[in-house]
Amino acid sequence: MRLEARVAVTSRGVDATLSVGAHRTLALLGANGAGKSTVLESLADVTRPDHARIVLDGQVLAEPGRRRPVPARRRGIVLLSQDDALFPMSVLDNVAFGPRSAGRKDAEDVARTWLDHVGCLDLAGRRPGELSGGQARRVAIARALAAEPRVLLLDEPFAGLDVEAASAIRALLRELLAGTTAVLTTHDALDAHTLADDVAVMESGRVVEAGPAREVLSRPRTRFAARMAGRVLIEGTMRGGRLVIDEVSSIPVSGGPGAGSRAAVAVPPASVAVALESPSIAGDRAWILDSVTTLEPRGDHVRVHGALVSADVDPELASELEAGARLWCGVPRGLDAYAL
Amino acid sequence: MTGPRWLAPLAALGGLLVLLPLAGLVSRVEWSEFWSLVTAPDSLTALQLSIRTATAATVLTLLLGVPLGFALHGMRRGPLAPARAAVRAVVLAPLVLPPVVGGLALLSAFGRRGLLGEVLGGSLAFTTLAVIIAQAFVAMPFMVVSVESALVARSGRREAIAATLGASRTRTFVRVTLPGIVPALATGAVLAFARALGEFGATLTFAGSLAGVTRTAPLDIYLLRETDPEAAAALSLVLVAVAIGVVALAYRPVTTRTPR
Repeated sequence: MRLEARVAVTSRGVDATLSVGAHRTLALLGANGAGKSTVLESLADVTRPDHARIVLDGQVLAEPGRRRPVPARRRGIVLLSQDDALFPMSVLDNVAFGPRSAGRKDAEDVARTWLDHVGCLDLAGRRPGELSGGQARRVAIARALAAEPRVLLLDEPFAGLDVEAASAIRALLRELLAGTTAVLTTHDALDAHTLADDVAVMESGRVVEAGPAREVLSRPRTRFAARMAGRVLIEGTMRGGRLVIDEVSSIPVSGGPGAGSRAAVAVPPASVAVALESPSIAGDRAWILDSVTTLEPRGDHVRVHGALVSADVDPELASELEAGARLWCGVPRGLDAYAL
Repeated sequence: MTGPRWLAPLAALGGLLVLLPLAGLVSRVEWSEFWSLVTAPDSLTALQLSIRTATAATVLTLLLGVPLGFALHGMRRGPLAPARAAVRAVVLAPLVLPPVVGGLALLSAFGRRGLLGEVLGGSLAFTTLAVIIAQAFVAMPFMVVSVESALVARSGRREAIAATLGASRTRTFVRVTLPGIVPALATGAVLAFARALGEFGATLTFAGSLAGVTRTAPLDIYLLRETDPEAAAALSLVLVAVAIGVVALAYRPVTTRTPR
């Protein structure tokens, strides 16, 4: 079930192109408001896009100039929405809804099997209002899969769940998504890492980077993709085993393209050290002179964004910094460099 | 929220305006004869006719008013959107139309010389069916308004999800949408029933006042008012009780469990 799509929703500033390989899971990674949900809704025909070309396994579902797109109920693309959208009927009837719509005589057996899969068989007789958030999400997952979708779309599958429920459902999905053609949206690099084979990074309604998950997450090519992957991108030019960042700073790296080529390293901000004075001993780090642009409080630490590098620091140290202040950022030596 | 003090006496006056006539009515009732008056053959016939016709009219408003509410809601997008306000105004007009005008209008549509007189091969006027039509005419707006506002409050998301699961439109309508607006249907039905039960002017004009055929309780009360005031008061009290019961039922705060 290979899915190829380009969808545009002008009013929401979305114009995204993506493809999902058969039996693979694609993570649409982006910040809130990047248009991820709009893309999923367009694929499922829940939102009617202004412009769409959607091809599933050679079957054209929507195409510019085609009189009418294939309606939602004939696409075999099931959307698992953030709000679960369970129907006002028993849990069992909810899960049996898809098979019954397909005219299956054994709809109830199918529903029981899927409820068992997600560990909710004992809830079969309950009404949606009597479920916890985690239970409702499990039932919604069972309902989606019981419809035997050709493609499963999951919109922020862990949104609104407490940490425990989210962890349990992450493990469940990891098992269920194996071998399923699926697209999930997330703003969390962890979800992309654990659940997806491929990643497409979305920024302002567009896919700015796409590829195998490991490649995109560990070797991002744009600052934005790096930020979504929880890293900071340090760009420069290769010269004699060093990545030259500007006139004063360069860092020794391993690998990388030939001298004179543009290259980058991606480093987690937590592994960048910060000093206010020029360090007397370089140690195992290469130091880059930078100036503070913004300070971003993140719970128990502060992420200091510089013009070149970002670093996670202690709030006590951060209190001595302000926008425009000079600082030295210590980056580990020998990071893996790659061509841009 | 508490308003200024001077609101209180006005509120009391307002309350009295409603309460005094009701108290007056109660004071007129001969309690010793109440039961025999209400169960007198003529009274019973009128009451039974009222309940039968009002029930039929309520069923008719469900059958026709619910689709009308859906149609009005569906007009909010698409080429007919600009006409929506006008269509709504026309559909809801019987709510504020003087009932006698409604009756005349019904006569000119379904009467012997009415628009459909030829088609119908005669007149509907002055039959029990005419009573039901007159009641449905004035009561249907309650159902339409109720259904339309319930639909506005829905996001349409469950319906969209049902479609992705492969459900046909009919299946989605019956299994997802209708169960979701049951409280609105109940409110609409109760109000329509109450309005149909109290219908007087349109019925008198369009259906007349034939005992056992078109003479409903309100018409009976109007006739008894001169000849037998005690019986009129007793029957009135029955309708007052029904009205208060219905309003209490329809306007209690609805505690719907909204499914997540």
